Parts: sequence; C-alpha cells; structure tokens
Amino acid sequence: MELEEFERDNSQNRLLSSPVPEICRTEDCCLGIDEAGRGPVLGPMVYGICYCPVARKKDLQDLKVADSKTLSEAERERLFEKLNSTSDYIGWALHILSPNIISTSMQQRAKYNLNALSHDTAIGLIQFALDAGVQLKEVFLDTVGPAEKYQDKLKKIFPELDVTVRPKADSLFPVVSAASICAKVARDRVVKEWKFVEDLGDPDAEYGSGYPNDPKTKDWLSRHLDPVFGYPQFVRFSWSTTQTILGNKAAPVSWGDEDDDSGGKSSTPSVLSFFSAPKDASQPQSHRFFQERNLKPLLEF
Amino acid sequence: MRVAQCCQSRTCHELPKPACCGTETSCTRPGIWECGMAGSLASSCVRVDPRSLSGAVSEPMHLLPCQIQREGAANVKGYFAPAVKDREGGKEVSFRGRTLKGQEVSVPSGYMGVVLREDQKPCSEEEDRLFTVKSTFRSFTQWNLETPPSADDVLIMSLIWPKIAAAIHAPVE
Amino acid sequence: MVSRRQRPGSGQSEQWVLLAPESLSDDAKNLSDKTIFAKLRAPCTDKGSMFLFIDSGQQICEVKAFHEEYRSWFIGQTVQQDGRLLIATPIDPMFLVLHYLIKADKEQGKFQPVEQIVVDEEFPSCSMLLQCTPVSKSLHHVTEEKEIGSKKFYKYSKEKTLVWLKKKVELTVKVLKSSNICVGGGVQSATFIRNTQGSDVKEEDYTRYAHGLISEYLTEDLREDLSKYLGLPDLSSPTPEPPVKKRKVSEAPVEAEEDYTKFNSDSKNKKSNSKMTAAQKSLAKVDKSGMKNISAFFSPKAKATK
Repeated sequence: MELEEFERDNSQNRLLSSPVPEICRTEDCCLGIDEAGRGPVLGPMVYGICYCPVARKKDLQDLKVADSKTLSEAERERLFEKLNSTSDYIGWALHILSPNIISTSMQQRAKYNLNALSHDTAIGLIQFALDAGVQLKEVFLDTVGPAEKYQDKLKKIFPELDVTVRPKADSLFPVVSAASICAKVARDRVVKEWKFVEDLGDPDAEYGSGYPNDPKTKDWLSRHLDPVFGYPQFVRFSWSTTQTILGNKAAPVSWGDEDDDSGGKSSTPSVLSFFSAPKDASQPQSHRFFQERNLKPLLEF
Repeated sequence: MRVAQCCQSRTCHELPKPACCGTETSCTRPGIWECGMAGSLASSCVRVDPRSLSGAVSEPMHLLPCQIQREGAANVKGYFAPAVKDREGGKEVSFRGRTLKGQEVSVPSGYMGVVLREDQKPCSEEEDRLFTVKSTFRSFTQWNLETPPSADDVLIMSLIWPKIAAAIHAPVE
Repeated sequence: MVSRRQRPGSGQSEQWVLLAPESLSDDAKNLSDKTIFAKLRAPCTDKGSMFLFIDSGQQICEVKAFHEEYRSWFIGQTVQQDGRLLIATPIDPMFLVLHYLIKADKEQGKFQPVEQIVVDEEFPSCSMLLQCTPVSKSLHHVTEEKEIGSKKFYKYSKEKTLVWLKKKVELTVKVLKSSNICVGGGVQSATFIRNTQGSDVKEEDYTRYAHGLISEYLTEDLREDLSKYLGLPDLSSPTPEPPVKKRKVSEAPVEAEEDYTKFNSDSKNKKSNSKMTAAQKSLAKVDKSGMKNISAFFSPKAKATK
C-alpha cells in the first residue's frame, strides 16, 4: 500500500490500488465495498473494494477474513498482508477521502452530505474496477441510508451488475470483509502517521480512536484548539463536535452564506438576506461606477 | 462619533501632573502640526508619523472572504501559509473547513500599501490623533469562498479606480 | 492604572489597510509633518469626508473604502476584523475650493482674496487646501481674477468653470475608453459581463458616464448646468425598461436607476437567472453590494470526489 502518495498532499483525496490479477479480467468476479472512519471527527474516511473471481469465493473465505471491527489491529495487518500476497486472484482499491475534503464538501455552499459523498465514492470505485478491466458480475456492500433506495440507485447506474446492498454486509460476505480490512488498515496507518500540512511543531499523536466520545480524542481536541484557525485540516470541521467547540471557544467567523450549520435543520433564508445592508437614506446614491465596485467615501476613522 | 474619553482610559507618562484632559496643553505630544484653525473644536485631524514609514517592514497580507470577529495575534504562518497549495486555477487553502480560492493581487502602479495603526487615542477631542505605519505591502492575496478569483471580481474592478481618478483629477491643460 | 478601553460602539479596529500614492514615501524621507488626514466638506454631499494630505501638504487625496461585508485581513501574524481596503487617490483640490467660491459668489458676490473665501467653521482644515500646488495654478480656470497691487482677488465664474469641466469630461472619456469600462446605458452591467463593450455604445454614453463621475464632485446645480452644457439629452423617457421605483431625482446620477436592469440582462455569462425573476422587484430595492455572488447560490453542485 503506497500511502506516501496520499501523504504527499493529504488535503486531497487519493485513489490507490493493487494491480488487476489477470484471472479477474477473464472470469466473472464478485466485488465487496466497505468503508472505515465514517464516524470519527479526525482523519480521513477510507473506502475500499476487494474483488476476486466468483469461482474463488471459497478460497477467499479460507483466508479467514472477517468483519474488520471484530479483529485486532495486528490481525487486520496480518490479513491485509495475506490478501495482498494472494494477488494472483485478489485485487483491491482504496479511495482515501481527505478530512479536508470531507470538511469542505459538507460545508460548501451547495451542501454535499456524507451519505451522498459515500454513495458517490462507492460508485466511483465500482466504475474504477470496471475501467481497470475487472470482469464484474456481483457487487456486495453495506448500506448507507435506506438499503432499498441505495440498491435501486446502484442498479440504475450499473444495470449489468448484480448488486446486493445489505446491512452488516461486512460480516456476511467475505469479499466485503476483505474490503473492510483493506480500508481499516489504510485508515489506521494514515491516522497514526498523520503528516500535518500545517507547521505546528509536533502536535502529539494522543488522539485516540478519533471517535467524538473517546476521552482521548476529546482531550486532544480541547488541547489543540486555536482561537482563530480552529484546528489543523486533520480535524473534520463539519462534525457537530467540532462545530460546538468552535462555537463556544473560538472567534466567531461569518461567511455571509450560512443557512444552518448547527442543528442540521435546513432553514433556507430569503435570498434577500444575503444583500441586506444598513440603509442610509440620508446618503445620496453614488455613481454606479462606485456602487458596482463597493467603493464608498471614508467618512470617519 | 468619537466619545470623549478621559485620561483614565490611558496613561500620559509624559505629564508631570496628574493627567487629565481639562486643559489644551495636557498630553500634547511634541511636533504636532496644527491643522486648521488652532484651538477650534472637532478639527478631526489625524497626523501620520512619517518616521514610522521608513522603519516599516513588508508583511504578507491575506484578504479573506469571511468576517473573523477577533483582533490581534493569529498563527498565520503555522496554520495558513503552509496549507496554501498552488493548484490548477490558482491558489487554494481551507479555513475553518471551507475552501478558499485565491490569487495574488498587486497594488496599482504608482501606489503603495500601508497598514496604519493608532496605538493611543488622544486625551481630548481637540488634540490631533496620531497614526503610525505598522507595515507595508506591494501585493496581497485575495481569497474568495469556493469561487476562483477572476478579473470580474468587484475587488479587482475597484482597483481600476486610481486610473480613472487620475483622469478626473489631472490638471486641465 | 486602568487598561485601555476598547473604542466605544463598534468592533472596528484601530488599524486600517490603505493604498496610497507612492509619494507617501517621500514624506517619510523628508520627515514631512504635513502628512495628515483631515475631514473636509465633500461638495457632492455637503458633508464631511476624509481626505489625506501628502507630498508635504502639496497634494490632497480623497479616501474611498472598498467594503464588502464579509471580509477580514490577515496582516503578518495578526488578524484584523475590519476587511476594508482604503484607497487614497489624488484629487484636484479645485473641486473642493469650488464649493467655497460658489458660496462666496452667492453670498457676497464680490471679488475677494481666496483666503477669505475658503473658510469653514465646521471644517477648519479647509485652509490647508490653499497650500496644495494646483490651487494657485488653477484658480483662473474657474474665476475672474483681479490684481490690485500684489494682491489677487477672485470671483466665481460659471462660464469658465463649465469650460474647465468640459475639458475634464473629455479627458475622462478618453481614459474610460482605454480602460474598457462598461458605460453602456446600464443595460449591461460590468458586474456580470466582462467589459464586452457592445457595438451600440455611443459617444454619448461615455460622455454621460464621465459626467456622472465628475458629478460626484459637483453641487447639484452645477451638475445640471454641466449636463446641459455638454448637450446631454434628458433621460426622462428612457429605453423600454420596466418602470422602477423612482429615487429622488435630484440625488441620483442619471444612469443609476438602470442598475435594476442588470437583473434582466439575459447574458450567457450568468449561470442561472430563471429563479431570479421572482426576486427581481424586491432585489432592486436592496443594497446590491456583494451581488456578484448571486450566481454562485445557484451553481450546480460540485463533485468532491476525484
């Protein structure tokens, strides 16, 4: 796993992949998709796919892959190496979503929520496998949002594929377990070795699991708050945990386009509110040259 | 606009007597050029200390697309400057989890950029205020929220003003 | 000892970002004590506005503020909430002197020394205007002069002033053309369309625009006199535009009303205007600063993946 490619610029997303085994180009394949790091307030979210010939499902199962959450870190590392070394019939690919991209996408003017982001990433990975020449037949994945709707969406995009969206897919289908191991291993490695793009000396790495309710994570967040900048890009600004801390302890920042960030309820303000400015009827209108340029005489220091 | 402030809001070290602003002479700094009619009320003059300009250093300037309700220290070189990337379409960085897109803007030719600062308010309305030049700049980075900066930006359009003004105000003949 | 109190009434900083003519650095070299901001009467509004004397007091600049609501500065290793950019540009001090000449002519109607004319209790700094180099050189453009002994006496001349102003308009037109400023009767707006000067832009549009700019420095009467003198047709029956809520005619420069039409202009550059229609009327009444961004509210969702 060449994580250096991501680490060179971890403000951006990065796609990493194994070579496509020859057999996967000629035989019908199954593909599992899973993600790691959806919940944490820190670090990237990693989407993984793993695929192998349908006929070799049994071999994959014999590797004793299981839902990555039930495995220890050491077991996951060991299993990943196994998957990686059986590259004659197993392939994988990872899409690392930078925490910076998660923050900025979720908070952008045309809001892009985490589910949409997840769907698009999964779709992108299926397409990647197809483009790489994998002879795909079956796709298995855990659901994001309502399972049926998600399945319909995928079937519409990939009508030629047999798509199974199933809750707990990572413990039901070995190919999904394998994908979850790849994703989890990548996420853990990236988080452990996070290269801060900022120049902050050496922030300590005692950030725990990154889950908002992990005391270590909480503690790290409270120790590293900057009143102006908030946090380094490692932290997901779009998480309510982060929003709350910033709201309470950092300098207020207004952008002029917020509709709502705090409660998740989308109250859309009138378009007029973007333009509201103090009326001063006493001031005569200046020439449109100045109005169009937001230039006003300075009346006072 | 300015509310008369009394000397309790600042200290007038140079004064031998207990400082207050009752008289015209208190708190007077040497070398103040009387503008307008001496002693008249609300002359609203601000003197710029020329010495401070010679000593002022150039500092990096960033014009952000948001209002930050804070004054003073900011770890720009720790958090912001290293995170600025040159991507296709210009500079890019994020601030508080939002994407900023930027471009370097030079000050119009024939002009210089200065940051003026008022360190102390004068004791009384009658007294001139004093600004010092804190730093200078030849260019600054204009940051937009999510949209790449372009020549159509109001800021860029507004920088044509010195050229137009020069025509309006050139001496005739 | 009590710590310094925040300036009352606002979050405004005690720090300002300013663009000023480079000659400001000469003042530093000469240690000029005449680098001064002073409040003077702005002829257009008849109210006080900030001006900057530089070049040992020989040059005067007006100070405009580029002001967008949601802006702040990083300056070195500091943050400044106030995101304004002040721009000090040299102005012809005659525009400020003119106000006093006209007033003296109305009130006294006689030849007077200029020191007696340029007097203002409310803005005593106006006497500094007389130290500006162009004033003594330019007074003859706007006055009748009489010399008695070594002393000069002046009286405002509207005729001469209009000739002088016409020359200024012509000079401004030239620069407007070379600067690609969008002057076309307000149908297109430079805000949305990049300086693509339609072929239908007439000489008159330039003259009108230049007149509008120069009117920023003129009293209302003189503005109208100049308009007539330039032969600008009255714009009381404009092109087929929807009726607009009338501003007070006297206050508005002739073209200003047509700003409204920028919401009608159906341009390729505008990403979406279908949703605008409903909001047009109300928007026209609102402060338009920052309107540049409107298209962005409707811009298609950008994909973040890849």
